[in-house]
Amino acid sequence: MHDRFKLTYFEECEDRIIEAEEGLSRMQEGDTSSDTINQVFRAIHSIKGGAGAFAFDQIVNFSHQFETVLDFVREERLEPDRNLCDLFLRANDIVASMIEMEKAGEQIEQDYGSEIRIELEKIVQNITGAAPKESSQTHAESQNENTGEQTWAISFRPHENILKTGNEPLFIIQALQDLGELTLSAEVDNLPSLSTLTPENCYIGWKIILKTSAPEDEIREVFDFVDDLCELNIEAQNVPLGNEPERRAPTAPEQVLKKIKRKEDRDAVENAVIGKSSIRVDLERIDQLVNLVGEMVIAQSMLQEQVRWLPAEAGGKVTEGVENLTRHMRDLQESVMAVRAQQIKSVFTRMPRIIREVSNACGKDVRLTTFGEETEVDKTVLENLIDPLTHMIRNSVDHGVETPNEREAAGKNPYGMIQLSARHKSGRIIIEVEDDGKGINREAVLAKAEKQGLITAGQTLSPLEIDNLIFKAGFSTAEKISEVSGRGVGMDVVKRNVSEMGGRISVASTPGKGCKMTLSLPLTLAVMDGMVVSVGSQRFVLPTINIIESFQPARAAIGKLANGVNVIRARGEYVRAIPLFSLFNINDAITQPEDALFILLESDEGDRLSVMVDDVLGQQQVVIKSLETNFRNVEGISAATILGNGDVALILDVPGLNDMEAGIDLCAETLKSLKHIKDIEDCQPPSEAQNLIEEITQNMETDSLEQGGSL
Amino acid sequence: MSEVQNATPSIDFENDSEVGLFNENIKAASTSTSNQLDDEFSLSQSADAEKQYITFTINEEEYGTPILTVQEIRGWMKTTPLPNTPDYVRGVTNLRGNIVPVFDLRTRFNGEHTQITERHVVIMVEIEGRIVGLLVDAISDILTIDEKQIQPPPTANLTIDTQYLSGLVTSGERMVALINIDKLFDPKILNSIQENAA
Repeated sequence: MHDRFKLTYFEECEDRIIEAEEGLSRMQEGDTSSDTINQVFRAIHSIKGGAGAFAFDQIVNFSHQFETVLDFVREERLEPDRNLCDLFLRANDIVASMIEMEKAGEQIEQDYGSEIRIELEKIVQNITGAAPKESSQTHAESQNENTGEQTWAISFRPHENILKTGNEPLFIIQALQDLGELTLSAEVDNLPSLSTLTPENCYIGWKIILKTSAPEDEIREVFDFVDDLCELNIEAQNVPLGNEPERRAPTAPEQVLKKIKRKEDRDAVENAVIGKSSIRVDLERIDQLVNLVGEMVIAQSMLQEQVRWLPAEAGGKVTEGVENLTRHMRDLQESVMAVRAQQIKSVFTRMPRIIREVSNACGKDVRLTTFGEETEVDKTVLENLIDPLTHMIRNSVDHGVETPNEREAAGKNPYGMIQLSARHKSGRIIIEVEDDGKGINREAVLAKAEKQGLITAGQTLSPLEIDNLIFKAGFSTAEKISEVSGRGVGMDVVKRNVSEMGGRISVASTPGKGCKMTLSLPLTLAVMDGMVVSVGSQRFVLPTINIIESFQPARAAIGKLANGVNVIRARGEYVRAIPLFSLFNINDAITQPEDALFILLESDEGDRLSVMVDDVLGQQQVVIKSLETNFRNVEGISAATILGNGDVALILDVPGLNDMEAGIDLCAETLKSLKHIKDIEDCQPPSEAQNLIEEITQNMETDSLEQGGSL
Repeated sequence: MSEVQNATPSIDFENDSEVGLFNENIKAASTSTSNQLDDEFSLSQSADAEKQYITFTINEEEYGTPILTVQEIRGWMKTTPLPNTPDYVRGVTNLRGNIVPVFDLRTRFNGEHTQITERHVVIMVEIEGRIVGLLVDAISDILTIDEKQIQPPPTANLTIDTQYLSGLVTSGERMVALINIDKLFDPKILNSIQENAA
């Protein structure tokens, strides 16, 4: 029971931290409107409140100090300049880490975040002019503010069900004790006889005499979370020594009014935060819904397959019905996916912290601007996006942006700018990270790539191709492994992660001006459009997005490179030809290239290749099911899906295919039947052959048009 | 499920660890399609240090695995071969919408490929949160075994590496080798085997 409340608290904290961070970022950019400051204050305040209920003392103490300083800003006693905002952001990070630690059940070190806390204390000290309390314990400022002690009579009668809400009167009393001297007497007149007593109910009330210098607001604050769960009456017993009019005990009607007002305030605040009405739903339930819709997509494709075999007179109406169903299924599936879709904001808001950490570590000043934070993407994609994006940002700060000195020498602003943007484009989400740093050092990249054997010496590459070498496995240009981005993972890992999600990543740089990395991802990892092909008795699915066309090769279109790689001429250029039957050891497939069908593909990186299959069976939406859930990753396969007949079909990983060895020489296969081989590397084709190729290419292009039309 | 729990409230006060075990049973039973297994589980709560094992045969040898790891038992289903995986991986199959790998235990133990007939069964077991299917010749029994009866495996006496054996027991005249499936398909070991093969 308790755990459930804790879990809710942690969930809420995550949201609060993001709210605070967002507000602070806005403050940093100069937005000091009271709304923004209040947003931050409110976030930290509710974190503190909740932490108190669970007795997370460390969080309470720290966030209290934080809150105190924020309060000064709110009261306009303190100017939120850049330095202060920085401090706040760092303080917010500390609160976030503390919450993380509590969540993980770790012990928070006693002096965790003490540097920041001392800085905060100093500010409090400067403002109030009093020495900070040694222990920096809760409510330090209250005693600084006012030395006049006052006696309050508090009648606290919790409702019977207060314990069920996760509140603990003891903590409240302890919190009061922190405010001053306490005399406590329990009121047990509501206590029922033992036989009718429910042990989970709270029957006891308390009369509390509190001697404190704290103002009434602060006492009321202690009861903030039990406000509507108890009967509370707070009265001043004597006039305070300070004799300020605000501190005067309010008369009864005034008090009621104040209470009502407080409630209204709070409601208003809550409404403002929520804006649109929404509910919190367990992610598992949504996942289940998505899975169910996936099953329905499978069932529907089964139906569709069966309907095809119906005779025309019987099939007409049914076919129409199934088509309707298909349309609705698509709508349903999109609606369900929309439920799980989240704004990319939640990922973007993590980035300022990364930038702060990295730029501090390497002595740079980097500012971040973000665009398109409200772009929506499936939660699963979002989760998988965090790591690659973090790495890209780290990379930009570490390798892209120069130090302030270097920047000034180059005639730029001393601070670097990184722009993070997201947008939708033709069913995919495009995320760009653009910095105004020094750009990619192409000479260094080339030299390194040659040294690593990634390219052969003297190979001519376009500037863009050079830039994209940084994604090659085993590549890292940093001269020495830096603490920040050289943790043994390079951009190749980023690329792998992205490819696994069916995404692509590319980079374009302008030397001296900066560098732009573009990430393109599918909007969902749950379903995709696929082309079902057959190889022997097996079925495979090719992502439709990768397919350019399918064609039957002309006789002479197949060639072989010196390194044994088969190529095929398609659309006027030679592309690698991969026979799937040999790649996957399928022994009942068509082995003669001219009997088979080739599918021209463009991988996510823009590489073109073709695969040889027996036949194309049709296009359909497929539900993506990971192989890793119960097994592991398989080379050349990105995932699996379930076809209409209940069979499992494997989804091909197009870029992965390109990395695999085919293991068979298609030319030799052709030779067996045709006695016709053309080795484009080893021998110069004689003019006769040249003519043949041209003729065949033309044939092939008409072929491919026909083929393309039939799909 | 809740019905069963309500029917046995007294167990809560008797033995905490037993409750955990019992709930596990319920959980396993609820995911199982077999009602018969369900009854077995209900009876098992009285067992103290005793554990139930499902035993199955490969060739003449009999093996056992704790019943709690077993999700369900199915007849042979069509599998889709996975390219470039070790021999013992028969492929993946569709278990009510989940993609589940099926391993040929015979191949895993002694390298032979099982010639599949209608009699062959696939035991769906859960290993560290993953569900995998084990292709075996037949299910033979459900044994209740006292922990004390389990002998440590002798070294190098069987066709499988002893590190996958958790012990030996006798059931009547038969010897049953209890296997440690977690180790048998430990991803680390799997990977190393794959590397060796490659």
